[in-house]
Amino acid sequence: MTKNVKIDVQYVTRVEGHGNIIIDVKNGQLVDCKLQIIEPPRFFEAMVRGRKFGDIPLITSRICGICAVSHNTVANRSVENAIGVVPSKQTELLRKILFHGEMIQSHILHVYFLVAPDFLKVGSVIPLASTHPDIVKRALRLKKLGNHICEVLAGRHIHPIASVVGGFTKIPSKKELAELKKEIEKHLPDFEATIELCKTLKIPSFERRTEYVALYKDDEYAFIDGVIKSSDGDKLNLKDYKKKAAEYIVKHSAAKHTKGNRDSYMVGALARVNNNFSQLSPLAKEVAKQLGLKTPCYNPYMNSIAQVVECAHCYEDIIRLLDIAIDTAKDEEITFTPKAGTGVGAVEAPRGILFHEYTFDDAGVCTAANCIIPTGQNLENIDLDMRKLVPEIIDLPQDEIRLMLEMLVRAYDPCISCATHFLDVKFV
Amino acid sequence: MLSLSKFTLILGIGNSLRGDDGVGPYIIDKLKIENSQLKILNCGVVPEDYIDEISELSPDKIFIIDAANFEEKPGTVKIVDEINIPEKSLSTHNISLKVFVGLLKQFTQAKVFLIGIQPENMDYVEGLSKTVKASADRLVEQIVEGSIIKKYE
Repeated sequence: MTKNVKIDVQYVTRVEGHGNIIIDVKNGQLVDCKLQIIEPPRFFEAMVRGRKFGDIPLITSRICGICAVSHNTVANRSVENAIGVVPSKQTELLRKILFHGEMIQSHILHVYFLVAPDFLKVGSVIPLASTHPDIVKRALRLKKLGNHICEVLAGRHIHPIASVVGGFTKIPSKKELAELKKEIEKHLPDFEATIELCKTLKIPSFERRTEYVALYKDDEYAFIDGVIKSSDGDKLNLKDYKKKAAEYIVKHSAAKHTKGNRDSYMVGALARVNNNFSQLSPLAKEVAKQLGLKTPCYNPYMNSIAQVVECAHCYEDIIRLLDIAIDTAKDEEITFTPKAGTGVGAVEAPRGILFHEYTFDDAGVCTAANCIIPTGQNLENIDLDMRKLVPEIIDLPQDEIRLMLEMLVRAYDPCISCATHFLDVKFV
Repeated sequence: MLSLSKFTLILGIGNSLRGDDGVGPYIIDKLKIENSQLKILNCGVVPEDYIDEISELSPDKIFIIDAANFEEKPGTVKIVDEINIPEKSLSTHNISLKVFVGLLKQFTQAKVFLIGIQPENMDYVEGLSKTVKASADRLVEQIVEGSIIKKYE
């Protein structure tokens, strides 16, 4: 094979943030293959140093406009672990409901706005609105529902304001929660239609065995807290997160890469479904079956399908959780005495496991911070996937190779804005 | 007062907790002049959540009021048509203005214009800077008089 291929995709479209795909094949030999991350770092860790503990979740939730609840929740949990606060059962319940709302909103945005245009052969969501208006309207309805859940629980459509260290500044009334439940139930046909749409998508067949990393809890499909579980079999406590997410710097990326047991690992919906399939709701398991997702699944393109499976889980579980909240919701005062200390928190953001760690002095002022973002953890895995994929598709026309690579990167739902902590969305 | 032959929709976009980014919602709050030919809507930080409602209203013309960086003096107002709407605005909503406008164009027959106001301060504060507030108040008067909307008939 003597083929030469040179691909330089400047600014991969339909991902959040700026990244370039660079492929260089000379005489059939892969010379270069990488996802360049070219966003400048945003230095959030430096920004929060010197701030009081209560400011931290409000500031770090601004890392992202899509997974703001994840950043807010993980910051709350790490601050609580640092200063010695144990959230109430009601706080845990409301955080789970809030989190499910974000999961639905983010997954829907990815599957419909960023992924579907590739399969429906249009350049972006704008022409999709012309060719498939019903699909786009449904996506907008479901995204709006996710934002609405955030508004009812945390006071704003994005960037929650009522979710703070120790609990919620305002507890939604039983009436508000009951109305929210009704609103969610009204969207069942939209969720069903999403599953039907996904049945029509022809997911590329490509496999590369890798390590999958996700949070795990004994009693539920984990999104908040738990231990770090690897598909290689090991489990780590959160305080040992750096042993799993060992960060290092590469020349071609402004975001740090990480490695665990192997050269790379994957986080996100596929990792969660692979590691914790038995804990999914019955509806989600049925959806997985209908969409042909069998675990363990080594095809990264199936990440988008795993996201739809999780949407089904969140839809079923949020109704169950709302029923509990409707019965039990009551006003609660947030009272605690903060102490100096260091704490780690972890959540499963839509794109994968997200770690925050903070240290506070006696005055409750932050003296050290560290955030490890899912997209950063996936970057090395994306590079290695591309390195395996390119030789397998080298005989395709260059435009098709380019599309397959762009689709691969998009399948990971990368949030380069988060990884470099920069915010921008670029569409064609 | 307004004298319009067609149905116009004025949208305010922006985050009232981010200083001058709140200029869109501020103007919508001040307007309060809805009639059969004009409707106003505060879309805050999630304009895409209102696309369904907007398409049902089926306006002939849409004016979007938002903070926008034209690299001009703070308070400068520029009105641009849909073709010249910048890819990036300064608002913190997570779908770009260009995409939002693209979707509006797919779901309505309306002509879309951006009334952009150069911000001075985008810090985490409530309330507009003096300069931007003065521009916003002038804009409110011009919209109520009908001069801006008539100009783009």
